[in-house]
Amino acid sequence: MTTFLRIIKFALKNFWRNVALSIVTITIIVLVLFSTSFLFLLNILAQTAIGAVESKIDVSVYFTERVSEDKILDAKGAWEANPAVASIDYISKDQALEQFKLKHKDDDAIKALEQVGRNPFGAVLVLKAKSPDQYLALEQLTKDEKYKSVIMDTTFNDNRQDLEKLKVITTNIRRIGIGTSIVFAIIAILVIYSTIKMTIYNQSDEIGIMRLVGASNIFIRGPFIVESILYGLFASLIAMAILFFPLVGLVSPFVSKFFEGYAEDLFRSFVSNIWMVAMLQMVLGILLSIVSSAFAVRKYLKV
Amino acid sequence: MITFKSVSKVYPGNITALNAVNFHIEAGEFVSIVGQSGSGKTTVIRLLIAEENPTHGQIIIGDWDITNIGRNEVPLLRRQIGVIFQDFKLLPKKTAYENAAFALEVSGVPTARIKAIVPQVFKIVGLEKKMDRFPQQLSGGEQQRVAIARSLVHRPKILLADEPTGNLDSINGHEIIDLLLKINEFGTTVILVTHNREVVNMMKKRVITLDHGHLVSDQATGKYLL
Repeated sequence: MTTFLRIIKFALKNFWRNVALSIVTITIIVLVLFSTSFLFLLNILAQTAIGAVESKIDVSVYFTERVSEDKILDAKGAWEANPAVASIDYISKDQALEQFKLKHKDDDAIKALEQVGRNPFGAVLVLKAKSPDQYLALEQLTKDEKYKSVIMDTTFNDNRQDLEKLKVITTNIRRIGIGTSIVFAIIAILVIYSTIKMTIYNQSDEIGIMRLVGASNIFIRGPFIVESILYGLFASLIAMAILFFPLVGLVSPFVSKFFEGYAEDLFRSFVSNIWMVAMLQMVLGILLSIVSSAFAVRKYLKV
Repeated sequence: MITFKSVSKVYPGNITALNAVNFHIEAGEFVSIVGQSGSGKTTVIRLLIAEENPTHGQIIIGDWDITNIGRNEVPLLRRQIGVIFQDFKLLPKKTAYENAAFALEVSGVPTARIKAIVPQVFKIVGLEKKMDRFPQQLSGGEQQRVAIARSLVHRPKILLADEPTGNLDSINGHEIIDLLLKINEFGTTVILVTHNREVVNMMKKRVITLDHGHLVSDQATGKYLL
């Protein structure tokens, strides 16, 4: 325990002695962690966006005004049995009227409705496919002879092309993100390696005396490894602080507005993954630091 | 205590530093190893602290054959051998106390024990009132005393002194030799490597003389021959 605490003490001393170098090293690790976290964030965003677009692919079936509710529920039951159908929402005549009123409460359309004097809307079934590819199967269902006479109209929201575009864009951004992360990681490894190398040179007298007076190998090498762990640790804390509050906090309202009604709040979904992101950053930061400092210690610190 | 059996050390470029050197030093002896520059004196020290391995021969300290000592055993060996050098090798940003305590700190000795041991050794070297001074605030002789204090904190059985008076004037030099003799009286084996004729002749102790890597003389109460 005494040895362990002293190794930490020596590491902290090395850290403060070269504080400028330590700051540079931490900054570069922050960049690596930031770019990888950005990738993670992008993944969440892409999934949210794809999910939002996918949820917009549906078929609305408008029934004639006078068709009985039983008949509509019969169609609903029959179509729900189809494997291509994910869900069917039933909007009754009354609900359709309410939705219209709500949507047009501030415009003239509501006056036109008053002139009609009755509920002119038919019931609606909104069919959603299990996957965008099964969209055509839904279209086929609505052409069933049994229900053709009671269906007034059908509308198809086909966003499949948009979805493909979105998938291509996110894949490309992800590729750029991975490339950037790798470049930053290589730079970080080189910077940590050089920092530890310089620290070893600066401490050469002390190291020589340590050897002379019988310091164990772990005591000679340990502080340099612990120093690099400190870099990784500080960097991950800084990266988390930047990522969570200014960035996600600022971006989140815009993203949420864009996907309003389709996806959960970005900030909330990021916060719910906070431990995973924190662990990912910490493990990555410390791992990078240990690997590069171990190389430097192995090469420049003979015991 | 220390046995060199036909020890040779050849450096790259076929430079022979020691050539089939044999000697045995008993526990508690005071031995001077003398010779001119390049005679192999410092190589003996480097072999004794396992800084180097011999090319041929065998080195035994106590019951321990250190000829091909493992890397992990070297720190254990060095805790049993105190070493002082001509250039003192003190850390300038540490006080005299911290320099001596450093040897114990890096060996994992508990702080309470360090606080007990360090003042004791400073008393032995006569610097108990200057423990808080930095090396640059001390004279050359005092700095060498701090180095001796540091070498004694492990209570070593052997003290190796490599030209300890080389950077000191004759008065300070004599004080250091007196201190080494005092430490020897406590039972520590002292090996003094020097080319200071006056010091060697004054002590009338055992003298091993090296010349171009060969042991040319081993006298029980010797003089500086070369």
